Amino acid sequence: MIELHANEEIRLVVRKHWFVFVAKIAFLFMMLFLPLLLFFAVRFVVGYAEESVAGDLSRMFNGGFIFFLSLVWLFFIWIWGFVIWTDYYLDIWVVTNKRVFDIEQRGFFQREISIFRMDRVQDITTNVRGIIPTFFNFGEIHVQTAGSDREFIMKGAPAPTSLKQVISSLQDKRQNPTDYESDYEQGL
Amino acid sequence: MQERSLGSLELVTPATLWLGFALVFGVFAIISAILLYHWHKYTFDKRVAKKAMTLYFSVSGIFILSLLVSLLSLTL
Repeated sequence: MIELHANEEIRLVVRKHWFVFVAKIAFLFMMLFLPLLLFFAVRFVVGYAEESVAGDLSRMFNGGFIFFLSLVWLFFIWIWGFVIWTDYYLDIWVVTNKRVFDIEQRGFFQREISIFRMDRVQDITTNVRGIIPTFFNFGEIHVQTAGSDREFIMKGAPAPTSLKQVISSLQDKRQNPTDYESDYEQGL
Repeated sequence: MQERSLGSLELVTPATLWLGFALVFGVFAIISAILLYHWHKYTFDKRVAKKAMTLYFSVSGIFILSLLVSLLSLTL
């Protein structure tokens, strides 16, 4: 999936905070109850409709048919839940001792991998905004690199301050001249 | 007018239900193939992918079986 250089080790694999996933899945959870709504809607209509219409509707939406429709609905919600989870699960930052890989899965058919080197990092900013992010300790982390207008952003990063400290300390180690020498010797 | 529009609801024949089931199964097969591809190719932890696959296919199997039973009871 990602190719590491010689002497490069993965230090951290960061996924978005679980609350980001829960927030996405909450809508699906509410959708679970839609068949119940349909059931009550049909009963309501049957109660007020003319006799012939009520008879047709009762025959059409009998218990078995509503059960079948509900199963189809729940099955699609189950599948969609996994689609959301996969999207969440494959969205990661891989922090190595030399680089950071920002892997972003956008739906099924778009995957973006950006890489920045530790020694190119100029500025790291974190932003925890709002009651829920403050309570659960997640937020944004922005990394500005030298010689590039590109800013790397991870939204919904868990413990962004700690992540910033990890990247900063790895960056400090990278700027140690002896480390460069060993890299140079290995032809990097 | 009301009777005529309700008449269209009678489109839900056993054949339509089986067609609907085939459609649902087709969508499931396509999405499952895409999910499998992603879990195999991009996962960082094979164990998590394996657990996800087991859970996904076990529960989906139960859903398909329940749909079949429900469909048989509706159409036979």
